[in-house]
Amino acid sequence: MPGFYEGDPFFTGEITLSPKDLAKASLLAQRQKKPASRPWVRGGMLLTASLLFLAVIPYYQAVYNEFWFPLALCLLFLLLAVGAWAVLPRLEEEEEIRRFSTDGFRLEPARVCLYRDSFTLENAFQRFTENWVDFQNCYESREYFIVTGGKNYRLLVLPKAQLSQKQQEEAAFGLQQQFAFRYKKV
Amino acid sequence: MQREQTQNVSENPKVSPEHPENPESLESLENKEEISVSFLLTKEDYGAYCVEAVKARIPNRDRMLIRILGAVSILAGFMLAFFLRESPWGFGWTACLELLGLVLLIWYDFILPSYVRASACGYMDRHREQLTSRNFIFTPSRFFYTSDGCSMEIPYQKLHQALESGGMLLLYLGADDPLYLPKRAVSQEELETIRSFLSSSLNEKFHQEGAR
Repeated sequence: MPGFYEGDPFFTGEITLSPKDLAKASLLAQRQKKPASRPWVRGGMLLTASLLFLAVIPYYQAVYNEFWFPLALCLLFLLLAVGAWAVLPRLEEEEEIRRFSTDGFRLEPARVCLYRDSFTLENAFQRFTENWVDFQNCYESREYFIVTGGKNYRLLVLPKAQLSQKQQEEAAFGLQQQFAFRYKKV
Repeated sequence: MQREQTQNVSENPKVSPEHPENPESLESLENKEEISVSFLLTKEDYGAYCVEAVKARIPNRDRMLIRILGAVSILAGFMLAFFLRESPWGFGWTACLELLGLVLLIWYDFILPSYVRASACGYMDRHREQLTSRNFIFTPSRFFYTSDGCSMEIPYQKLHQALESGGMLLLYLGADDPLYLPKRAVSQEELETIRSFLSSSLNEKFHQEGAR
């Protein structure tokens, strides 16, 4: 019982994370925290700029008797919108995968125990004890439970594929109890 | 600045009996050369660490490129001052280019470190609970690290890299995840021993930049 409160953990599990798991979880958490970094938001803003330049073409033609400049800007922003929607997320994920591939300790098999006020994570080289009060948000997606914040272990990721149905229910219930309105299903 | 006495790691309540840092494994290290370091983290340490970590992430070629752009901007300002000496806008454009060149020249050496240090110290002012003691034990093959809520036993070969700068020793567990040891917490002899441990295990992954 690493925490202040007595009692057994409400969740115990063995997990092994891959760089792709960490990359997807990290990007999901970032995009939840900063909506402007979401692909569809960026793409939408650029598409809006493209439509604005398209709308300016008749006025520009009336004043300058040609329309190539706003048309070029319209096409440029349209291309950027397609890039922000389709290409940039893939590049971001690849960059995150490269970053997490360098951290061998995060990829070690680990045993995670979630308690009422804290959690422990232990692998062959490290042991962390973190209190929930140091974490900001908790997200549940189709693939992961993600907890962001912390002092030493900053991103807790529980892949649902490695948990049984019972473990998933235990984790979901316990984390909802801890994070309340900061628990979000995405 | 006096170095704090090393605390017995096995008495650390955060370490469980099953963890490698139990009394039996520690006793086996007593016959080998080992360095124990214990220090209380200050916000200045954290600020210095953030500056070194940011500097380490910037490639040298990017730094040189920005400095070259700054020098070019300053030269362009002088040339513009000559060619636009009759123009009423000449002074404005010249001043802008000179200012831009000066900012670019001193960006990585003064402006960015000052901003990073101020942000880091401000963060620690708001999170004083993180200013806790840190403990390192260095042995020839690995090091042990304990802090509030965290304990590790890391073989040097598993490190991504190690970096020694003017005031800090950074031990990278991953590309963006370093542990840091302020050199003020160790004596010169201990630092030499730690350097020998790291250089013999890491070879080219141990970088010393501006080390004293």
